[in-house]
Amino acid sequence: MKLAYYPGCVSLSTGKEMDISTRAVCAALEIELEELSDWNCCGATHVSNEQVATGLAARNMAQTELPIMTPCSICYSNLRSAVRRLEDLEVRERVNAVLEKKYSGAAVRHALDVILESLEKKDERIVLPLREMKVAAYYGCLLTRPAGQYSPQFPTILEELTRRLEAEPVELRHKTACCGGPIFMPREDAADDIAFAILAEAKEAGAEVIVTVCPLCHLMLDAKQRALEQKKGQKIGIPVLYVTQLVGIALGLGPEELGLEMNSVSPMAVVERAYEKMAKE
Amino acid sequence: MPTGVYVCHCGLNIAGVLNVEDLKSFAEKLPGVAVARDLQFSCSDIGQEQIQKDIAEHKLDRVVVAACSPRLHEPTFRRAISKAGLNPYMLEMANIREQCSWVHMDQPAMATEKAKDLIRMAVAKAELLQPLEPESIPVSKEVLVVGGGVAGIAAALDLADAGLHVFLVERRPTIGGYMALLTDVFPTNDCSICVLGPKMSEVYNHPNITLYTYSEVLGVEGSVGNFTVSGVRRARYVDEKLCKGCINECASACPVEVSSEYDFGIGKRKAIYVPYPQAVPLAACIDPKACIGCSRCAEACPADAVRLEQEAQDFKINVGAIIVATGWQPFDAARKEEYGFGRYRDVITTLQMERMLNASGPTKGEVVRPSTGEIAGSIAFLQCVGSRDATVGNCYCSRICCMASLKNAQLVKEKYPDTDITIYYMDIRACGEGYEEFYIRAQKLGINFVRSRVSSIQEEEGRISLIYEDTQNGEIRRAKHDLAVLSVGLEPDSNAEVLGNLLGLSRRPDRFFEIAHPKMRPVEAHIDGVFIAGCASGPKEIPISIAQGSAAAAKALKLLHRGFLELEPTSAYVDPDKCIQCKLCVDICPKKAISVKSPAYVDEAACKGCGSCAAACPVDAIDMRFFSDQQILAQVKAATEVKREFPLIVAFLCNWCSYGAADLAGTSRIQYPTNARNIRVMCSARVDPSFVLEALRQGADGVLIAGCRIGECHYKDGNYQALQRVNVLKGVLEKVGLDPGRVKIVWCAASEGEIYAQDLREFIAELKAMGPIGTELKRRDGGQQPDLAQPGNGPEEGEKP
Amino acid sequence: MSAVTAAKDMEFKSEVLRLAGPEMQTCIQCGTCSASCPTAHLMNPSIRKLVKLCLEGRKKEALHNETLWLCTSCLLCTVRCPRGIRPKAVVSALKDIAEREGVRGRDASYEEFFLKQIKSNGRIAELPLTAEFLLVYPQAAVQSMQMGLELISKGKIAAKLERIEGRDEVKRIVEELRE
Ligand SMILES: Cc1cc2nc3c(=O)[nH]c(=O)nc-3n(C[C@H](O)[C@H](O)[C@H](O)COP(=O)(O)OP(=O)(O)OC[C@H]3O[C@@H](n4cnc5c(N)ncnc54)[C@H](O)[C@@H]3O)c2cc1C
Ligand code: SF4
Ligand code: SF4
Ligand code: SF4
Repeated sequence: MKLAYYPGCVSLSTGKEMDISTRAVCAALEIELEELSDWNCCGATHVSNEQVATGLAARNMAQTELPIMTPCSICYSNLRSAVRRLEDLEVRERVNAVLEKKYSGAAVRHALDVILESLEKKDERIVLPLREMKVAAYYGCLLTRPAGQYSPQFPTILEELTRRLEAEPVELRHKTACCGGPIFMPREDAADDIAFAILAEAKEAGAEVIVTVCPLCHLMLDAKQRALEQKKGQKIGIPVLYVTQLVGIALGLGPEELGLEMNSVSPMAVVERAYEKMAKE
Repeated sequence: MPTGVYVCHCGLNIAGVLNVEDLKSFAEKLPGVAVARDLQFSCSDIGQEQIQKDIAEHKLDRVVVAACSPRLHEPTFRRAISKAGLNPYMLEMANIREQCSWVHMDQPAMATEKAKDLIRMAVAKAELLQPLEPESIPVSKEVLVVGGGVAGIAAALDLADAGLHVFLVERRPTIGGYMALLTDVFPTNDCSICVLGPKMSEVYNHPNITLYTYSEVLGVEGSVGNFTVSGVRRARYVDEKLCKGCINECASACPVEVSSEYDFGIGKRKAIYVPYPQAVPLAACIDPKACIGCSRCAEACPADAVRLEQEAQDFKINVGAIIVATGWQPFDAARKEEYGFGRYRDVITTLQMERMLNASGPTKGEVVRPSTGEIAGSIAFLQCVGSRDATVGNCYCSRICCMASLKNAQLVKEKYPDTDITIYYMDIRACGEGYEEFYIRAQKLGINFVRSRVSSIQEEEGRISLIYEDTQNGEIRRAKHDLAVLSVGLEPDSNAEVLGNLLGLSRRPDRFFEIAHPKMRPVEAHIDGVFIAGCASGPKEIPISIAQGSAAAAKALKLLHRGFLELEPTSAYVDPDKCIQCKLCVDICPKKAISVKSPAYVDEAACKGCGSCAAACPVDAIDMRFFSDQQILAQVKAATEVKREFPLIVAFLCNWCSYGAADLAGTSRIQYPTNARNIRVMCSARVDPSFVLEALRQGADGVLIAGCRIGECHYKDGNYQALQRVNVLKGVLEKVGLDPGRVKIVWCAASEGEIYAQDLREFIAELKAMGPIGTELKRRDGGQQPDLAQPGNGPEEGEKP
Repeated sequence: MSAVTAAKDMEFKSEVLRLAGPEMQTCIQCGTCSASCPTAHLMNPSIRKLVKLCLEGRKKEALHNETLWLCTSCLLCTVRCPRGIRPKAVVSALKDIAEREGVRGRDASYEEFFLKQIKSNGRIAELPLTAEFLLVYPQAAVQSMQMGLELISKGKIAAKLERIEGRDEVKRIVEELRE
C-alpha cells in the first residue's frame, strides 16, 4: 500500500515522536509513505475564516493523487471538513482560482484507521502482545468530529485496535471530551481543569497507559502532566502514548525507533512489564 | 358535420362589451357551421330549448356555446344537448365572459376580435369531437384494511356495520396495535385496554369481518373498484380454533425464554406465547426463531392444539378499496448515543414506562429501576428524543409524547406521591381539547418542569446524571435521578414499506405516507380507491386515529356502496402499433394507471386524464379521448390563423388552478390586455412540446403555460414535469435561434386572479421587448422563418424529460 | 436605539449568517450547545446566548466578550444541535469579523500571529509564535517557560522558522480567500 503522508507542523516540534513512530510503524507494516511535497500548515484551530481554512487544506491535497494519511487529528479534521466544503462547486471554483495545482477531490485517512486495517487478528507481526495492559483510549474531539466515519461521541475503533494488540481497553467517560489544548495559551486555568479531569478519570479507572491520536491532546496530557500534578496536588504518573507508539511496541520496535524517550512521562516501566510478562509465559 | 354556434348576451355581461351581432355573423361563416344565433341567456330554459330545437331541425351533431366559463355551465349544456339526443361530449364552450368581456371592459373592439378567435378555436375543436360514453364498471363491495391498530379497527367496524365485507390483515399475531400495550390513556386517564378490548372482540366476532392475523399483503393488482390482493398467513404452529388461550400449560412446559417484544425488552416470554392476556384472537403462537422443536408444548396442551407441522397459507382476495392503517414504530433510542440507552440500565423509554405502569405488564404495575428492582424515587422524563432533531433526520414533532409524559408523570405521582419527578422539555405541546388543562393538572400535582434539552446522560455512583442548561435562568446543571425516561418519538412503521411500494403510495419528507391534499383530503391517498388512516400518515393521538379510521370507512363506503363506478371517459389510450415499450409513461403517470405488457396498457378506471403520459410519449403512441392532440392542435391553428395583434400569445391553462385563476380575474373584473388566446387542458403536464412549437411556427409571438403552484398539482407533480419540459424546450428554441423567453411557465392558485393577470402583463412586456416572432432570426441572418419543421417534430427523443 | 444603528446591526446579523450558515435562524434556544460545551461554566454569554445575540443583531455584545476565546473548537455543540446549527462556526464567524474590524486583545493577537506566520512562512513553529505572543501578553510567560523547559529537555521545540517554497501561494490563499 502506498499513501501520501502529511505530517503536520507539530511533527517538527512538540509531536516529533508522533512522526517518528508513524514512519517506523508504517515501515514495519509495509505501508509505503510518500511525504507531501512542500506541505503547509492546516491552520489548526486558529484560522477562523472557513474559506481560508479550506484553501490551506486544498493546497495540501492538490499535491498528490494518492490517498492522504495524517497521524494528527487536527489536520485530519481540517482536511475532512475541507473535502466536504469543496464538494460545493462554487467553493471549489473560488479556491482553485488561487491555487497553483488545482484541487479535484481527495481521500483522507487517519493513521489509526490505516494501521488497524493492515493489522490482522492474531497478526504474526505482533511479537509483543500487550496482554493485561490496561489501556485507556482517549480520542479527543477532532478524530471523530465533524461526524464522519466514526460515531462522533462514542467511537470504538481505538478500543478495537487495543484489543487487537491483546491489551485491555479501559473505557473513559471522557473519551471524546475536549483536552483543552486549543485554549491552553490564552486560557491556561480553564484548559488545565479540563485536561486534569481526563487524567484523573484514567487514574481512577486504573489505566496503565493512555493512548492518544492527536499531538495537542498528547501535549496536554503528557508534557503538562507534571505541571498539572503540582497544580492540583495529585499524583497521576500515567504514560501517554501515541497510538503509533503503542502499536510499535507491540510490533517489537525499539524505544528509539518510536521516540519513547521523548515522552515526558516515561513509558519504559510499562514496556518493561510487558516484556517480563511475555518472558514468563 | 353540422355545427350550431350560440353566442350568449348574458344580459349585458357579455353584450355590454362585445358586439354579439358581429360575433354571430362571424360564426355563421365558419366552416361546418349550420346555424349560429345570439341568445339572451343561453343557460335559461328558453335558451336551452332553442338549442334543442335547432338540433332537431338542422340535424346538428355538435354544438358550440360561446358564453361563460365551462367550469360553470358545461354540465348544464351537456345535459341540454343530451336531452335532444346528442352525445353530451359533443359540446364545446368558448369562454367569452370570464376570460374576455369581463376582463377587457374598456377595449370592446379588441375584445370582440379576441372573442372571434375564441369562437374559431371552439368550432375547430368541435369539428374533431367524438361521442364518448361514460363507462360504468361493476365494483367489489369488499374492503381491505391493512393494520389492526385502533385506526384499522375503527375503519373495519364502521364498514362492517354498514354492511360491507371487510378483510382485516394484521402482521402480528394479535390486533390492537400500540394502544393495546399502553397503560391509562390521556386526556381522561382511562384504562386503554378496557376501552379497546371490547372493540377487538367485536372485530373477531363480526360476521362481516374476515380477520387475518399474523399475515401480510404481498401483491396488489388492479385499480379502484377491483383490486386483487394476494398475501400470506404465516404459520402460528397452533390451531387457532382449538387453542383455548390458557397459555399456562404449554408455556410452562416450554424451556426457551426470550425477551418479549410486547414489553419492549423489560419482560420475558416463552417460545410459545400469547402476546398479552387480552390478545385477539386469544390463541397461542410459536416463535419459529426461538423454538428448538422439543415439542414439549404439544405434549402439555390439553386441547391438543399445537401443530408443529403447520405451514403458511397463501390468500387471494378481491376488494374495491384499500385502507392503509399501518401505524408507527418507536424511534430507536440507542441512536441518541449521548443518552446512553442500552449502556445504562436505568435509562428507559416511555414505552417501557407504559408497560411498567400497566397492571398486567411485566412489573405488575410497579415502577422500578431495572438495575436494582427497587421502586424509583426520583424520575426524569426527557422530551423530544428522536423528534425535532436534525441529527437523527427527524425534524417533525411527534405530537403525542408531551402528553404521554404528562400522563405517565401523573400516574406515577398518584401511585407514589413522594416520587420526585422532573420533565425536561423544550416546549410542552398540549394542543387538543382538555390538553392544556391536563398540563395544569400535572403542574398542580407537584411535577417539576425544566425548560431545557438534556445534552447528555452519564452514570455516576450508580445514579443517572443529566447534564443540561436550564434555559430559563441560564444555569448549567447536573441533576441526579434514579430513572431517566426517554420520550421517544414516532416513526412510520418500517413493516409498511413493502405495502407502500405495492400500492405506489408516496411519502412526505418525514417518511410518513402522503395524503392527497394536506387540508382538503386528509384520508385519501394519491391513488384512487386507497385511503390512509391513523399514524400511517403521521403521528397522532388515539381520538384522531379513530376519527380518521371512520373517515376512511365513510370514503370507502361512498365509493363502493352502489356496486358500480361511473368513469369519466376522459382517459388516455395507447396506439399499440406505435408503442415502443419504453415505459416512460409508466413512471410518469401519477395514478400508476399504466402498465407495459407489450405494449403499454392504460387502466381506464385508474386514469384521471391529466395527459402527462401523452405529452411524454416519445413516439406519440398515447393520446387522450378528450383534449386529444388533434383537437388541441386545431385550437392552436385557429388561434393563430388571423394575427390581429402583437404580441399574440397562445396560453395553455390547467383546468384546476390556472384556468380557475383566469376565471376569477374575470369575476373580480381585473382588467388586462387582450393578447392571450387560452386553451384549457387538464394539467400543465398535458402540454406536449410539439403544441408549443406548432404555435410558434404558426406565428404566435409567445406561449404561456400556467399550472397550479408548485407542490399543489391536482395530480401530484404534473407541474414539475411541465417545468422540466419547458426547460428542455427553451434549449430547443435557443438551438434554432429563437429567444428562449418566448415560452414561459407560471404558477397560480385558483384564488390568484391578480397573479394570473400580472404574469400575463409581464409576459406581454417581455415579448414586446423581443419584437414579433422571428425578429431575432432576421437580426441574425437576414430573415428566415424559424426552422421548427412540421408539427410533431418536437425535441429529439433523448431530450424529452 | 436609533434607526441608523438598527440597520447596521442587521448588516452584522446577515454577515454572521453568511459565514455561519442560514440554519442559524432556526435556533430554538434549547441549550444543548451550552450544556455540551467544555468551557460553558466560564463563558458569559453562553454559546446559546451568543447565537441569540447575533440573531438580534447585537453586534457589540457579540464581538466583545470572553466567550469567543474560550471555545476550544471541540465541535460537541455542532454534532448535537437539534437544528443542525454549527455554533462553533458562529464563534469562528465572530472571530473573523472581530479580526477584520481590528477588535484587539490578547486573544485576538494569538490568532493574528498564527495567521501571520502561516502567511509569511507556510508553516508554524512554536517558539517564534510564543515569543511574539508573550510580547503582548507577558502574564502567560510562567506557564510558557514551564512548558518550554519541558519540551526543550525532550528536544521537541522547533526554534527555527520553517519556510516552504509555496509561500506566495499560501499568502494568496490567506489574503484572497478571506472576503
Ligand atoms: C408512549 C406512548 C404513549 C401514548 N399514549 C397515548 C395516550 O395516552 N392517548 C392517546 O390518545 N394516544 C397515545 N399514544 C398514541 C397512540 O399510541 C396512537 O395514537 C395509536 O397507536 C395510533 O394507532 P394506529 O392504529 O394508527 O397505529 P398502530 O397502533 O401502530 O397500529 C398499526 C397496526 O398495523 C400493523 N401493521 C403495520 N404494518 C403492517 C403491514 N405491512 N401489514 C399488516 N399490518 C401491519 C401493526 O402491527 C399494528 O398492529 C401514545 C403513544 C406513545 C408512544
Ligand atoms: S410532542 Fe412534545 S416531546 Fe413530542 S416531539 Fe413534540 S414537543 Fe417533543
Ligand atoms: S443547540 Fe442549536 S438550537 Fe439549541 S440553543 Fe444551541 S444553537 Fe440553538
Ligand atoms: S466547539 Fe466551542 S462552543 Fe462548541 S462545545 Fe466546543 S468549546 Fe463549546
